[in-house]
Amino acid sequence: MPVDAFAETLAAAQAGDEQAFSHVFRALNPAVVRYLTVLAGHVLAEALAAETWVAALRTFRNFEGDERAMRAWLLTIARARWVDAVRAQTRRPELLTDTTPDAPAPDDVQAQVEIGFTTDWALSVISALPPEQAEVVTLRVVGQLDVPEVAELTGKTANHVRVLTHRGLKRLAKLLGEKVESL
Amino acid sequence: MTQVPEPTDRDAQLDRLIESALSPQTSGSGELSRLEALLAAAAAPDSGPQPGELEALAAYREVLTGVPSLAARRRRQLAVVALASTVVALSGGVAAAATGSLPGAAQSTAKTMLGALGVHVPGPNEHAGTHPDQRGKSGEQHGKPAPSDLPSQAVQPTHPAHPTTPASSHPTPGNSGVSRHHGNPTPTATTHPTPQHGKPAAPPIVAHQRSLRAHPLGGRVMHPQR
Repeated sequence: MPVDAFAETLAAAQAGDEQAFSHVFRALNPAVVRYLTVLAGHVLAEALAAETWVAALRTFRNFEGDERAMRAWLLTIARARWVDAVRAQTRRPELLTDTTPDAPAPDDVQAQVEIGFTTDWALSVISALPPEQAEVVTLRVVGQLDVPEVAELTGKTANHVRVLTHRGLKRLAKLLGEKVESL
Repeated sequence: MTQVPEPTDRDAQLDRLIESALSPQTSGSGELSRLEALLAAAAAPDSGPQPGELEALAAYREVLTGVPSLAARRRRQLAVVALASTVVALSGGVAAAATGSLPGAAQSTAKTMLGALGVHVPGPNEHAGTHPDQRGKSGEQHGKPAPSDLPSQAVQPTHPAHPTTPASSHPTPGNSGVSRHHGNPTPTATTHPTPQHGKPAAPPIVAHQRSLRAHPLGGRVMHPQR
């Protein structure tokens, strides 16, 4: 959304315009849901996203900033909700399962390259990365945040974020059959 | 605050890669076309209706416009009903305690608890006279003068239909309030002791019906016309 258009829409939403709020929601919710999908999986992502918006709405009227700042703000809240969920999960009895998280096999990747990538498939490939790499790559790509913003959100140093981004992208390129020497 | 070191050439390359992937014009055209396509797919815009949009709108309405959602209204209604029920139950309990109408143990508990709050509540034996803990044996009282016959004790009439009639001359066999205490002979009934340990010899309604018959209006109650 253009900067001026977002500022106007946000102001209208903060004044009580439901249609404007819908525009803001539709512009920002996909990044929230996708980030939570990589962190927590499909099942929990939508519920955590709903909790994120409910929490954000408490101070929504007082928010000041552009679309990028608001996305970073929402992703920060989303991460806090996910951390809460993980803590709650650890207090519950462990649910044992005999299935492992799906990681795409190389054959699947080749087939998908020919078909074309869908968002869900792309997220599932990113989710197969080690968790820290997956989170950082998602925040940089889906959240469109720069290194300092990702560092602040995750509590890591900027150098750590850079290293994790590089390793994550290199691993993805290798998985996709790219020449990793160029990275 | 996180200190940000100067980006290296490799960082700049990664930034370019990500920017290229996110730009529709350049996505998939670089050296790492598949990776760019993957990143582009992950970040693809989606401005259509979103899952959870209705719930978010309901929360938005509640927070910003002050109009609670249907679910929130139901929750509040339930809370109000529960609160009202609790208040009514507590008020009823306190009123019953204040009038000494609770069963013995409950009355004792109420006296202790409300007494701590500074509310005077009669104890369970408040109306039991001088024999609060003794089971009544009305037969023992045969031939003894009733306390109500003593000139120093004034006995209140037990029924408003006989405001001038001394209660001791019309012993009320029913529940007059003072005759409930486990068989102790009531002051008004001692001249005609009941043979059944304080239980009334006749149902109280008999005496009441008599009093209605004796009423100048013949037992009919006249309501003033409005």
